[in-house]
Amino acid sequence: MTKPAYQASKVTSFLLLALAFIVTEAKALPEDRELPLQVKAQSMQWNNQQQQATYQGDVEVHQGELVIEAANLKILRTTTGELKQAVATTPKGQAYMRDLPDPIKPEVEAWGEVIDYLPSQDLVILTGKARLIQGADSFTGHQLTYNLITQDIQAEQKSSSDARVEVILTPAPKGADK
Amino acid sequence: MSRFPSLRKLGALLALIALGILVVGIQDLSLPPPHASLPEQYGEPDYYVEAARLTRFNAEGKRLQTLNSVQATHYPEKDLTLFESPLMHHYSEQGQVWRVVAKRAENLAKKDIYLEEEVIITPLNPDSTYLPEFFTDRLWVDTQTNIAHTKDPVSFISPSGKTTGKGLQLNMDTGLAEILQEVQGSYLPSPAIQGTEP
Repeated sequence: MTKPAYQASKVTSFLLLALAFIVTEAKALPEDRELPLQVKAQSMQWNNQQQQATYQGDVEVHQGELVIEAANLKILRTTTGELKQAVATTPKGQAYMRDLPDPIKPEVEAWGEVIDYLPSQDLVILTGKARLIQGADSFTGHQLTYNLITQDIQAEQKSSSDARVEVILTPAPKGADK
Repeated sequence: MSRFPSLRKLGALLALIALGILVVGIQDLSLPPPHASLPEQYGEPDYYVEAARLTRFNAEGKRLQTLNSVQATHYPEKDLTLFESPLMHHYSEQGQVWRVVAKRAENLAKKDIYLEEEVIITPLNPDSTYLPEFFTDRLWVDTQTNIAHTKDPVSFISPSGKTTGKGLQLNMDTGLAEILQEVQGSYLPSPAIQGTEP
């Protein structure tokens, strides 16, 4: 893949590497996705004009094994008031996420300037110096989209950046159970 | 001389009886009798108003606040007015409308309004299909700054979840509300996206 090829596409943001599979089967804990999101913070601000709640100060989100930590968390709702999206940010730092998708595998840890959780789609989108690791495997890019159920990862890099998505997949030792 | 009253006298008597019946008939007996005694914990009240409605206007003459109450009792010694089952509406210039209800309220010297017991604060958004609500037990409304505040435990309930914490600061003009400490929230994930919002 060469850089001119991307420029020819005239797409501002484009895909460098897509759909790397950590596992071949979905072995996540789907029951976690049915659990309520528990949020802890120092304070919460409700903007009535925007109908938006923002949690501030040492924010922690728990949903089963899923944990998100950040300085701020914005809750976006549907027009009927239901939870649509949770956006975690840490100004001058990185928001953090971890999950245990499969009890027999290492936990997934991830960082990004913004962590966008879309519960209805079971997606976590990490943006800005995004990094995700599971055991010895790691993904680095501008944006990583992680499916909490299937554990699919889509990695993208900024069109303006020369940097590339970096993927390190460590082969399992011979004889190890996959 | 006849032993019986004359027809004129009898007619006058019947007319008097009819008038009496008419007077009783036109009286509104549905009104309760006035209170024989009022609570005197703040001295002797000088008046009370049933189904009271107070309206405050801003400098331009626009409606700013209304306070409805089942009964308002005034105590002149402290210039204190007590409200039973108050229902307050605040109308800001920015278009914010807030509704506050409680079991009781006090207005001391026509300044701050203090509401207590089962205080429910609701932003009324004409564009919204749901009404989130703040719950607390005591609330002070500064009628100069239009800021409502409490240090008590607060709950915020919306269709998808509940947030609890300690202390509330609410600017009724800008529509910004903040739960100040020890915040914990719980949200149910929605099964499907039903729409978007700004």
